[in-house]
Amino acid sequence: MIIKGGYAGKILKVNLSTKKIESENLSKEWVKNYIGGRGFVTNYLFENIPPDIDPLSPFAPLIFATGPLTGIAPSAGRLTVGARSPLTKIHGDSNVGGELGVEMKKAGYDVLIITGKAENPVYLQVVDDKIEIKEANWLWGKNTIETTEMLLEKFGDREAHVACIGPAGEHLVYVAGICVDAGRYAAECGLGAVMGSKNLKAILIKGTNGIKIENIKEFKKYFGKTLALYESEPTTNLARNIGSNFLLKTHNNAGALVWRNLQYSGEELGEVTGENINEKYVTKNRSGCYLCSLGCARHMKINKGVYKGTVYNVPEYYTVDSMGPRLGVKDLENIFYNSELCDQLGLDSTSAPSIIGFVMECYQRKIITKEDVDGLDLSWGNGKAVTILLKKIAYREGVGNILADGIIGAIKKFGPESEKYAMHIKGLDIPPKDPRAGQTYGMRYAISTRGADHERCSGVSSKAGQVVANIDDLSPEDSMKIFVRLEKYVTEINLMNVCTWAWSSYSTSMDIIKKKEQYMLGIFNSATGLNLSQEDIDKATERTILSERAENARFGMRRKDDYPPKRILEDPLMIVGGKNKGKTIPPCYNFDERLDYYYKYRGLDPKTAIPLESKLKELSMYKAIDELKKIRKG
Amino acid sequence: MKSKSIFFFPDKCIGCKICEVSCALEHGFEINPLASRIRVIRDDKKGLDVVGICVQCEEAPCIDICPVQAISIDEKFGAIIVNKELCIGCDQCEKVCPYYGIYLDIKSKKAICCDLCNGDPACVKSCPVNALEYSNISNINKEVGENIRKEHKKNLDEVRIKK
Repeated sequence: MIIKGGYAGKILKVNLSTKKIESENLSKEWVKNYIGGRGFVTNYLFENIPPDIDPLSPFAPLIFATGPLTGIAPSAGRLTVGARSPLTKIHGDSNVGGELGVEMKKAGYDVLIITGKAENPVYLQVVDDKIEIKEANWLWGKNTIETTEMLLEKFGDREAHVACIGPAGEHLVYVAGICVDAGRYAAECGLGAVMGSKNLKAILIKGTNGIKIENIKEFKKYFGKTLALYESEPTTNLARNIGSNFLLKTHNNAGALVWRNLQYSGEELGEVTGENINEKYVTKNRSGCYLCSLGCARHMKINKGVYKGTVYNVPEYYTVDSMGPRLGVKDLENIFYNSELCDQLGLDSTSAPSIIGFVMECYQRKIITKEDVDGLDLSWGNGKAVTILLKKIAYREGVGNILADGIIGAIKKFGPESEKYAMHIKGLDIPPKDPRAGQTYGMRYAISTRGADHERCSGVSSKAGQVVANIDDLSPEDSMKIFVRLEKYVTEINLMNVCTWAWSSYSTSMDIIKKKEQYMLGIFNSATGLNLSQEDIDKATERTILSERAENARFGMRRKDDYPPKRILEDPLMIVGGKNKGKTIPPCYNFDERLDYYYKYRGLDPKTAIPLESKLKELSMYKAIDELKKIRKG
Repeated sequence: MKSKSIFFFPDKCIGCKICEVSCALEHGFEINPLASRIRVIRDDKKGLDVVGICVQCEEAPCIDICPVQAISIDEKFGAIIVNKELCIGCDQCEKVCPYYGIYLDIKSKKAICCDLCNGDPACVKSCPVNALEYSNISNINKEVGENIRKEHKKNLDEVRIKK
């Protein structure tokens, strides 16, 4: 088996303690078993992290992995970043756009692994095979936008690409992300704190090599077919005309939009709609990511008022809901401002506000008072207080120091009574789409190996962008069959490293997904010449999920940790306004049964959620078998 | 007189760089923007995406400045052609080109430029939003053609990369 293209072919390893830099060839076995992206990250973490390691210790690796399709397929400027998460203390990974991943491959590396800790702040500069660890005292303390600008200025070539942390990462905040190209984020799981713990302020990469394509004729065929398929989908126009914020209205009507820490849905949105954002603020409608013809991003400007003159990329749906309705905030310009503030400070713009949502509910329920939160009035909708809190979190000041330890840290401080208002699974906050409003797809938060997360399995969208409803009418057995099929597809997306939105979420039927899957494999094989079968890819997705499960099992995760908070399991969800005003959605029903089927289809022990030995054997995962033997008795 | 040339519409461009990849694959076996004869320049701060590409100027400054007469106009399509044997890689052409349309190939250190793909440019064919056109607008209406060029140039000046 020879890799003729698609991959760059090398792994770069940098130890910041010893300053040792080495590169090694990408192993073909690894490629076949794990393909790339999340697969590489997961397998590396499982095999190289001792279970008792502190996520912020110098020995904990931080890994950046591209996929074979990064930089060559439509909508594929993606890069996976992984580490043991300081936020959840379990497997952590996050996927980011921008062009750092593409640049990494052009520089000659599929994977970058960083270990150790520099004595003083440093940044890593990679220009093809010239790799330098450089002094970064002059950047320490600067926000992400400044850091990126200053680095590009110093480097003298603006076509280089930069990943960096802001003050939040420097202060080891557990909800700090890694900023790529001054606005894209590997946000989830607190990976910015891992980078900060290594005294690594930034990574600048410039590559001048090409990515080889083995069979150009075939490659072009599948590339063209994918773009043509995009054009045939009605959701494409939604992406182009409004962007992800079309979901604000859609989800609010369906009861899925999260209001006030998941207490209800359907409140009047006022100015907080995608349509309004477009009409009033957008200056450039449609901006494409690397090799993506959808162009769901857009630029905006605020022309008057307190926040006048600021130019941003329009925050996406998940940030707008988190900064807005989730906190009862309806002041759109405050939402924009706080989103941008998170970007600058280096905070995850969904996890940070979600923790604030939890604090606001504790405040509403009088579990805490003004004195507990540095005298701030944390009534719902007080966006200005949110601004102050975000800064406190990023710099670990006052109450910010408590919230910087994530939702689990905050529960410890506010007492057991607060726990039932903490909307998280495994320490990661529930994303702004209420799982009760789509019960089967809601399972993705529960089964996700990095905590409550919407990116591990994606629904099929109907024309209006709403998840097809009737899957919930199927039996748990049948609905979970579809769920696992979609989870497999999304995992494939993660291994190849293409955009989940473009390749999955914007698909309107299973047939479309099957076509996309076929084109993805076509692009992979024509680029690499590896000629893998769909079955090979399917096995790699299974290995990835089971590796993460095995890793988490070693960290002590069991079946009980896959459960959502009581509110989701016991309280009905009220829709208080809009089209479905007065309607009540039941709490998650058949949850246990659905979980049982998930474990069954995935080959997990129904009692412990630990991968079954028989399943691991089937996938030749012998290392996992040995490792799990140690804990199986426990 | 040439019949057609390349026109760029900055309002339509979304900066996806599919044109770069198509060009690179048309002229080689790898995906490398640096081997491409069209380059997308993005300025996120200003929200601008512009392409640097040869627009087949009537009076091409690259031809005038070349000290070894390596650059000429192809008779069939009016493309700017670089004679690799003659090119000494002095980079003068890149410096005078108003459209950022000619530059040194990173590997060979010789100037590369859009050759119009034998009258069927790959970049134009591949653009998903029709931000590029290969047309004879200028012959039909000189003023319209000039205005499109002006707009292209204006945007290019705003984002132009300092190297």
